[in-house]
Amino acid sequence: MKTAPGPLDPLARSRADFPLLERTIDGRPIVYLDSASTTPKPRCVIDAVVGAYTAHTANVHRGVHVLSEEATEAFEGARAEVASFLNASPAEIVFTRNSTEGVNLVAHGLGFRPGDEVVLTALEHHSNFLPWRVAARAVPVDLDGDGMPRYDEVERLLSARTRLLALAQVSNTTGVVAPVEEWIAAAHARGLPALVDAAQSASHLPIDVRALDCDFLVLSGHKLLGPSGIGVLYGKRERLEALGLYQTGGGMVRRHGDDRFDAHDVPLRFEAGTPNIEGAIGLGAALAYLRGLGMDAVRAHSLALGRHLVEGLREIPGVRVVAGSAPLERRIGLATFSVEAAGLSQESLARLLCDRYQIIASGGYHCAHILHDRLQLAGTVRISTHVFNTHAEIERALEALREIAAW
Amino acid sequence: MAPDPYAARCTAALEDALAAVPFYRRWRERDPGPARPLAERMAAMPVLSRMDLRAHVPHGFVRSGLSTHDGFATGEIEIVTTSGTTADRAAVVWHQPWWDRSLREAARVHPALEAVYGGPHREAVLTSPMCTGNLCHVGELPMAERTLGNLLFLNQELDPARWDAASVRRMADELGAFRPDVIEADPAYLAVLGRACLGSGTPLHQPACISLTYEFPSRLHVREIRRAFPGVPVVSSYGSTETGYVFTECEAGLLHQNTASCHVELQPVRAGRESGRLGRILVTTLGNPWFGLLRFDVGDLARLHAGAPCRCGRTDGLTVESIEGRVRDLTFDTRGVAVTVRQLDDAMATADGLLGYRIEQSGPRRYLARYVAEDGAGRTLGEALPPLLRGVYGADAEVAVRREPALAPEQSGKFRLALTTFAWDVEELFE
Repeated sequence: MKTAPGPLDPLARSRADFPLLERTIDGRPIVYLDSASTTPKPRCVIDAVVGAYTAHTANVHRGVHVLSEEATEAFEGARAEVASFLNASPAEIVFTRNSTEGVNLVAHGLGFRPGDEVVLTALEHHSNFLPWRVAARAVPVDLDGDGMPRYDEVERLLSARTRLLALAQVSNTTGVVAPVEEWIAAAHARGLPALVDAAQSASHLPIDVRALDCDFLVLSGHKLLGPSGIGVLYGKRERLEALGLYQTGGGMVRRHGDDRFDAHDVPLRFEAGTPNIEGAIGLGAALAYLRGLGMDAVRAHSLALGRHLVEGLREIPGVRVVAGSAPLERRIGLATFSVEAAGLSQESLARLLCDRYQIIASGGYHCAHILHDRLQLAGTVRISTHVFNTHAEIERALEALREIAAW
Repeated sequence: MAPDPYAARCTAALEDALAAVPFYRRWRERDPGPARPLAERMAAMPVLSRMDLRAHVPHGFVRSGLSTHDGFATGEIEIVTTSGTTADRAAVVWHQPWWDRSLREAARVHPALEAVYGGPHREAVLTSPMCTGNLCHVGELPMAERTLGNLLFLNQELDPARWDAASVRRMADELGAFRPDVIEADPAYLAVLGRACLGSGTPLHQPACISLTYEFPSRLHVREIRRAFPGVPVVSSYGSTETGYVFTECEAGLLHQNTASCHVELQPVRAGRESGRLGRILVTTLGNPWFGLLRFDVGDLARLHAGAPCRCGRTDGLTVESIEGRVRDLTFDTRGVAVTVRQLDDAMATADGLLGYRIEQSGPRRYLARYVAEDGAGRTLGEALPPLLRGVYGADAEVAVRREPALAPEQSGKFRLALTTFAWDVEELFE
């Protein structure tokens, strides 16, 4: 079956930018449909990282020589790129390792007291669930029988003990866009901050933190075509300034005397130790690349692929799409599903997609055990797209699933 | 002269596969025909690879007339996937009755195994959870949930180096409570457990026999196992998820082919590239309508027995002196002659105080030996290993050594004893 781009693939020109897509398995080209796990990297990101190593390897913020100045300029340039991508100020951008660390930083810094509660959904990725569960009491909005959170029950769960609302803008398991604006409004109506987990959404939707009015937002570079080990915590400046220190050490301190130390202003106060300089530079290049494609075009392509995928899955006998009843116009190019195929576990099915069809997809629990428990699913398969994917590739995956389901 | 029923079954397997198993249609025209001897007909066929399995399982290997759909629906068959990276991975149509028959027949080679597998028995399995599919996303399961009928799966860790004292104690306690008749083990894992129990004075249940399988049995590991289970018969058994049980060690120490469920050819290594009677194991399965394999390349090597008939009296099928390890684990001496894991291991086993090793060849004459030593033996080994390895690879071999606290298994949970870090053409090696 051909997987060449067609007229419905406006971003198809980007395929040539991703060296990984030239990879073959058993002599046949791969179909990469696992971008919710991590994304392939475009050549410009690879070049930016290699360039940082080859042209100006040096530490940032502390050297007086030219290499350090160049490295600092590139590193802070990446911060400015992130800020611009989110419509924030560079002072509001903290580099972290990933979304998980961003959530942990906030959970640690808010200084919860016993009995404090965080309202979230039972669908949240472990990264946006366990830090709250450890630091406070996590109060989840429950799921309906289709796996969708009952978002409108948020008001009922807010109490005098609630300290924060935390919500993924797009679920990593359903691919459905959540009503974050409503949750943020509900939080603000009570003077509470709201944190948005944009790990999945940032790569598919334009994000404007000013328009959203969220207090915190986290994202991971590796899901945004950038390197692994680099992430971002956005926080309104006053919110960041009110957070307790997360880590201490070099780089975050302005002065250290016998009796006291003074931390830097935000964001550097949260960036103790030598940061992931090359990762940040690579992330900056990735965001510039995405903006070059145009985030509106990225969103439109993602939604179109998602519609194609879910509509196709719904038609395959024995396939159950998680949150399959959610409106198509609120889904990115991601779907999680189980296939009723006797003799095959969902994980085996994902392996089969790779081994027989060269289709790279996820199989397992996708860091959402509670969802699978609620729906009594022993694992699921997840297909997730990005800018380089084509409708022909979606059709190839559907064809493979039709074949397997008919065994 | 009475017709040879084994030869007749092999011929039938070939002809049936060519006639009725979809994948082999493309091989039909290569068959020189029934007038030619079986060996010649087989040799005319290509070698079946895991890549073929990946591309054509399940329907390609299921005999025409059988409904895969019904087989799955009734539970008669299921899909099982093997562990490993690209080249090792494969999906297999698993037919439990055929597998059980293969095990039973293979066990008949050794009296200790036959005594156990010939009737009701209890069996403990110790290997990587990747090999048994009991890796659980929610963490370690209690014993009751790891006990399936007469089987107890002991381990859920991906690396035995991660076992702490409590894990070792738990496994020893479970063996004591379950009292298996046989322990089927990956030798690397059982060696670690045995050594840990001996070291801590933890009593170990002594089964009627131990069956070593899952990966190449290093003499170092077998030595540790014999120490921990003195007097217990330790039997080496060779097979794979795809082929069932292929060779079993007899009480005389040679390995005999399981003629009930497979036919084996050894594809010779080219002259000048090996030290004699070494071949790649190609397996043709017999009597499995759901998964008919012809000349399947398991990826391993064996050395044919060439001396007098085996003392055990068995004459049917191939008799091999040894399983020599994986093809991809071959290294080469400085003249370019292949060195099997078995040959290397025979030499390494002479080093006192050695607990584990991995030899990495990075060039025609460059070798790095990573090793794990018993307490107090590190320095001596550091001096002893270079001349020992020059004895294996050649006097002009450049050998570096590096002591390691532990050696990590591959993603499959198996330990690699030797490897090359440069690419070489496997097919070029065989006739």
